[in-house]
Amino acid sequence: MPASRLSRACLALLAVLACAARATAQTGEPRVEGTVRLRGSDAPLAGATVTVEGTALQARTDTTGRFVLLRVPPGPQVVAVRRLGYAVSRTAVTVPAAGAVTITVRMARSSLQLDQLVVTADRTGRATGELGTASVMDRDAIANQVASSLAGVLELVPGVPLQPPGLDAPGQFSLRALAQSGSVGVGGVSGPGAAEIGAAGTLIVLDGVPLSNNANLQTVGVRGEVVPQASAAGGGVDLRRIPATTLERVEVIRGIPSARWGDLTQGAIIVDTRAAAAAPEFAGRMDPRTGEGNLVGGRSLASARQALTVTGNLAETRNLRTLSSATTLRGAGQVAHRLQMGALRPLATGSGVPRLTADTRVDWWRLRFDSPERPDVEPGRNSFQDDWGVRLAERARVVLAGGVLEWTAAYDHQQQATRETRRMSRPTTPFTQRLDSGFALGTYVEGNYLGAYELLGAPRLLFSRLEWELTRFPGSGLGVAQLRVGGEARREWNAGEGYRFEISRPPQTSPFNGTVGFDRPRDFRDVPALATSALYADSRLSARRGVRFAEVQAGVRLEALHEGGGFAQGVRSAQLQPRLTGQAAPWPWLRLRAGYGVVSKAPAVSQLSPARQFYDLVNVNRFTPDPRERLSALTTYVRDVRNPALGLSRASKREAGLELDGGARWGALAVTWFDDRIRGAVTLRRDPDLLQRARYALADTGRGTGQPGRVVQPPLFFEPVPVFLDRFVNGGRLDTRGVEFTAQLPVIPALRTRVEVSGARLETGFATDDRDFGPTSRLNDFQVDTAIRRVAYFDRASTRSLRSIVTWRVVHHQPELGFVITATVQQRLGDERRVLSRSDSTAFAGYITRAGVLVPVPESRRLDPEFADLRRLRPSIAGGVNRLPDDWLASLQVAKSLPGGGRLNFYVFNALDRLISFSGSSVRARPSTRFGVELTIPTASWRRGG
Amino acid sequence: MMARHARWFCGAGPAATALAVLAALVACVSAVRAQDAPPGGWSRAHDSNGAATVAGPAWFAAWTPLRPSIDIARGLLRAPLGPGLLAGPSPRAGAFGVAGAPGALARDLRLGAPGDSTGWSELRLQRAGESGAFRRPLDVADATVTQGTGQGWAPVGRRGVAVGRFVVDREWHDAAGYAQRVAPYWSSPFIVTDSTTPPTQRTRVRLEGALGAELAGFGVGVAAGLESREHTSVNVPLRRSGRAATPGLVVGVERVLPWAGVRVGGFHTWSEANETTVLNAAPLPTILYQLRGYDEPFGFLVTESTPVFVRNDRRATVTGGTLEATVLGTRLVAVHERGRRAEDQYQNLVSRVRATERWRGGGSTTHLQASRPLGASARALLVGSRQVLTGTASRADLTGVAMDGQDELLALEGDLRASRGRWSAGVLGGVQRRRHDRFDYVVARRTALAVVTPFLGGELARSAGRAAVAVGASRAPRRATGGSPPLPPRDQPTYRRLVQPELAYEAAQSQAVAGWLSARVPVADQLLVVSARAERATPREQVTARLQPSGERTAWSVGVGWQRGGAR
Repeated sequence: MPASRLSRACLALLAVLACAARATAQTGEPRVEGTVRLRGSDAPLAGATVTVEGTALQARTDTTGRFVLLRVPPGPQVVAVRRLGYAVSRTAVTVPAAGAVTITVRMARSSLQLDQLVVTADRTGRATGELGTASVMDRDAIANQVASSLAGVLELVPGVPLQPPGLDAPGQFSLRALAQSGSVGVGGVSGPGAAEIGAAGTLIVLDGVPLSNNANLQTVGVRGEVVPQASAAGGGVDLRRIPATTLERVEVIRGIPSARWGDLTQGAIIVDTRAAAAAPEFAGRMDPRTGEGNLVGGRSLASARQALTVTGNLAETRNLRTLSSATTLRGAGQVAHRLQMGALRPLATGSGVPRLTADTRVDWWRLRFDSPERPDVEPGRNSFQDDWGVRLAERARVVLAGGVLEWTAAYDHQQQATRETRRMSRPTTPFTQRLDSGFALGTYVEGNYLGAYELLGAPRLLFSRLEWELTRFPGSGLGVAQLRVGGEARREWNAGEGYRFEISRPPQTSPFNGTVGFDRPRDFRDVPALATSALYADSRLSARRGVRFAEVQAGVRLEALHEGGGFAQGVRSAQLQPRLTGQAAPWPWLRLRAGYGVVSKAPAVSQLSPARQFYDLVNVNRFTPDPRERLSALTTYVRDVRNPALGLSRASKREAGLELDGGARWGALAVTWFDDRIRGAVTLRRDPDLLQRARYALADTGRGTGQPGRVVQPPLFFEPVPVFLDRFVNGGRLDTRGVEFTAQLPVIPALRTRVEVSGARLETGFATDDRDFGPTSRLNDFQVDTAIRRVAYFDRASTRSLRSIVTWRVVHHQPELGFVITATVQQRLGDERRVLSRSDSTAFAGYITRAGVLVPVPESRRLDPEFADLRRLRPSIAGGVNRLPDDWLASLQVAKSLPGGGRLNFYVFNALDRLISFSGSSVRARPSTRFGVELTIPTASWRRGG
Repeated sequence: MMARHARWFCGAGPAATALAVLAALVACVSAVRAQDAPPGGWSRAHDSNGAATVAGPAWFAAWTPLRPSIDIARGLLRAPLGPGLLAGPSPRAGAFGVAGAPGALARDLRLGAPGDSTGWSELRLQRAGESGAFRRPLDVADATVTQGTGQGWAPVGRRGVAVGRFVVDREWHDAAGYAQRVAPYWSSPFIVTDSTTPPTQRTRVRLEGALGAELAGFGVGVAAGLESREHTSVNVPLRRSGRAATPGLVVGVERVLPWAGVRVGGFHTWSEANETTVLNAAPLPTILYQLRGYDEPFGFLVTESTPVFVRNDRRATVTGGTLEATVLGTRLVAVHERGRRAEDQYQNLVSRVRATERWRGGGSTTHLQASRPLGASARALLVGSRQVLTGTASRADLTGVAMDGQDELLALEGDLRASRGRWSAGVLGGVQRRRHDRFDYVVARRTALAVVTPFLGGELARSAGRAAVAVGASRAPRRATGGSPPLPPRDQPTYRRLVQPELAYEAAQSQAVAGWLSARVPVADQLLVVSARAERATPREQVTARLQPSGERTAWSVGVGWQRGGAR
């Protein structure tokens, strides 16, 4: 009996403790409790997962649909409820400092049946663990967005121009900067384009692991030809490799990211794919040019803690071209496996996690572009590109010292093959096949021939990060909410066979003036790797009093670019990057935010180790009617244009903002001002140099001999030839300031309609340290004509672009009929581009001599008589202002729910097919209309019979 | 029942989902060119380009906000579709059904005859084709099309009704016509053609819907639609491509007056369609001809370095009024609308700021409709229509009016259907008279065509439970008056090739006959409807002296539809 008494005593004690705990819970701690029911029948829904966004708090509903979330941070919060086969429900609540807030959540089988359909980026979204300004797109918004890839989803970010869906061109994204249609070129005035801005530093993080395009060498160099299609070399990550249908959540950190994220200057895009135990879902899309099919599914393995997810995507876009047809084909897939081991360990937040969680992912993608030969149109012409990659990523989390120690490692293995053949037509040109410096008798390239080349690249990325993170509920008063320290290392290289072509038939279309030679084949395996490392620490402090709170996230990151592609060979360039962001909510409806931070971006492999530049100086060119008697001799000079001083570019970012949240009745408004200044962006600079051209006497050159004659050594004399080296430098300045806003107007219940408007006013300035030597023909004359003693050079023109983009989204919703009609109108206002340059006769900055020496001339001396020959109007670029009239385009989507939670979606991009707007000599061509159908079928619901 | 319709095909089960998958993955379209179509919609339904019909009950197509306003098509001869006993619900009378006045929507579709359902929906997949030499130079030679359609209506709340339709189709032409426009035979005389007829693929998405409600004695409604097209030549060494966007919006209001159920209403229609074509002739050069009435077209050599861009903007606004009353058990509806049309054609970007060719039109349309039940198992519906159109054309290279025209279309059409026991029958018939007068001041040539087309179709159905089979046939003989236009001089070869055969086709005495078979099978609480149709048009006399097209034109279609609701 003692045992029995003891048992009863224990039970009684437990009961008392439980009651006490319950009493504490009910009266003391702030909490959210409620019920989850099925929309329509009000039946309780068991097994739904309830979370508070931005925290680790989580609960599951019981058989009566009830749940309780304890120790929820007071203030405005978003409670998210998820359950397989149902649309995600997000409910805004204001949690009291003490006591409970009770909610009832009704889940719909289809997101189209939700009363508050989410079709846009969350105006008050926060990237997980971040305080900087962000746009968050969750599954509902992504599903409602017509997109072939991540690029289309990002159109929900304020100020991003709308583009038709498809795989026509490499997907590039310019965050918080105004992209021009041109390219930077050699220090250029026309840029920067979206690719350059992307390359300047928008970080893409896919399932916790950064992607990179730094080792993409699929370009033939600064003096060669642009690879047509499919290559994002010189730009950011090609977003076509990430299908939109596989996305679960996208966070775009537009403002200052936490110290965890590096190698960026523009911002970070955090992408989570749909890896979980989920019933297979089929999605298809068809328009006149594109067909796409996607299957996502996952299932639990031996236990609920192990899940395997498989996604597959196949898409094809046909491009309409004048002279050829082209097809882009994409495949993508993913296998994800989650393993959880050990008992639940409590964290400081109160929630429990398994002792060990290991996520293993294997991603696969392939992009193939094919423009085959059309003999009836242009014999011989064709181009082809085939890129594919496999990425193995592992994330292991272990509970350690109340926090979580996470190790992330990834290996990204890519293969790239580009082949192009085109018809070349060039006048008879002396030519040498030398691959090193020296003298050689030449041959002739002449007439029409097929120029073919291939680029075989193999970018590799090895990434590892170790991080310890402590997250806890700070309670009332001042406390540490988050502490994070970590370090990461990254190595990128290219193991491809490189740039190959038949030397005797150069595929470059550049003309030959007797000095600058054609490029030579290059083996990418000789290119040194890029190695970077970083250490960071980050902490988040919180102060709360009732519903009022303030938070500060402070961190520092030390980023280093290593010498020689190894981590042990010293540091080539380093940046210390402090970052500070804060927010305060004096009232539940108002939130104020501000931040300052420094970020940096490493140069790409192609910029650190550019191809050697060849100069083939023609010494002899005896061109006779009889080909047997022709004689040429050339001296080849090879110049290494690597820049040992090339290092990290640096950006300082400032922002301030406010958010007003009046709920569905009053609407909401979020406004952010920002000022981003990038210094040391990688650009090209033309550095003058001097070569000596030898002149020879010829012997045995009689006509009719059938012999080419003979070059008599030694040379008669030498003459100087000025040449130019194209070198990458940290010479770019990209400044963007502006304001972004997102407003949700009050819902009109009678019309079941709401209006959201977002937009941005951007002003982007771009300048480089390069010099302007005028048009190519002018330089050719200077190089060839020894009578020209000197020519003037000018400072590079800079550009300043302004534009406002305002996007209106009108959402009409008929939950009973399962219809959602979304009309989108995007306005472009105040589009202006200023080219800042002087073009008067005293605009020259100096002159270059035949010895290749730059001689600057102070402005005070430019009117002196000795510079009279330099006082000419600027020969190339004239400054001026170019304004385009305000205009707009409209798109329409009609979505209809199908049995079993499926959806049928019609879309028409640029629905009115507005084409062109004119303003004087300026023309803006809008993307042409594009329309199609999307179909989504969750097969699990199908099996249930709807 | 209402709730079930309200969810449309939601909850229809896996079979409906499978059908939806099929309907979306396999595109669709009826390839039929512009046709002889009485304005009431009882025969072939017009759409924005007059180039395709929509499967399903013919009467349900006339409400579209995308119908061409103030324009009269010169269509290929077709036999009428017939009553369509199994194709959908029986015709609903009213201003919405006959003219698309959205103010009448809620009342017309809620208040049907006894036995009518409050909702109906259908998903349909159809494949069709046509071929044959009895056509005009700008018509497509041989075409096949696959079309998916979803349409229906359902109550929204206690006072409202929503109606909607989507069409997705893809067309393949073995050889396109000479015209670059999708539908060349409308009122405007300005058509850009070239010397090629390349194989072509066309794709289209069409979305349209209307929402109406009854509020405090008023009926209010709005209808909106959008159609997008894209087409391109395939497997041919030149690129002829194009696209078209057609938006349409109709707003309307109606008021019930306190006498004998009299209702008056008004509506306003706006439409601003555009069509863009691009011709890149590389490496094969081609010759572009701009048709400008009856003048000999000037040939412009198109090469790789001189691609041609043509843009057509067509604006139309129409304002109309409706009057409805019930007298002696007969429901009477009158609709009158007036409007204006402006069409501008631009060539190449440099002239985008100024139209090169202009067509300005104005006109009116009047419908008179009478309907009444005949006993408990029969109903009759009669529609008389008159369309009048006048227009003037001005050319970029000339000052003043270069051409003018007056068109008139008169139609009287009736639908009578009855059922007894397991048998039901329907007769659809009427007559249409179409007149086209044109005078080209540049070449001083006048044409006056008058075409009379009586038509008659009948259908007989027998049911067994909810299953049924139906068989039907129709015939439309066409008789032209005014004579065939005289042949132009021999120094006008392009006119002889592109213009004269079209005039001779219109003047030909010809006929079209059609036959069809339908079967209906119940599946759970829905209906599966399978139908097949064949059609043939031929001249009744072969006259080749005046370049009249000869031979025959055949068309066929097979379709499967999935229906919910709609008592018949």
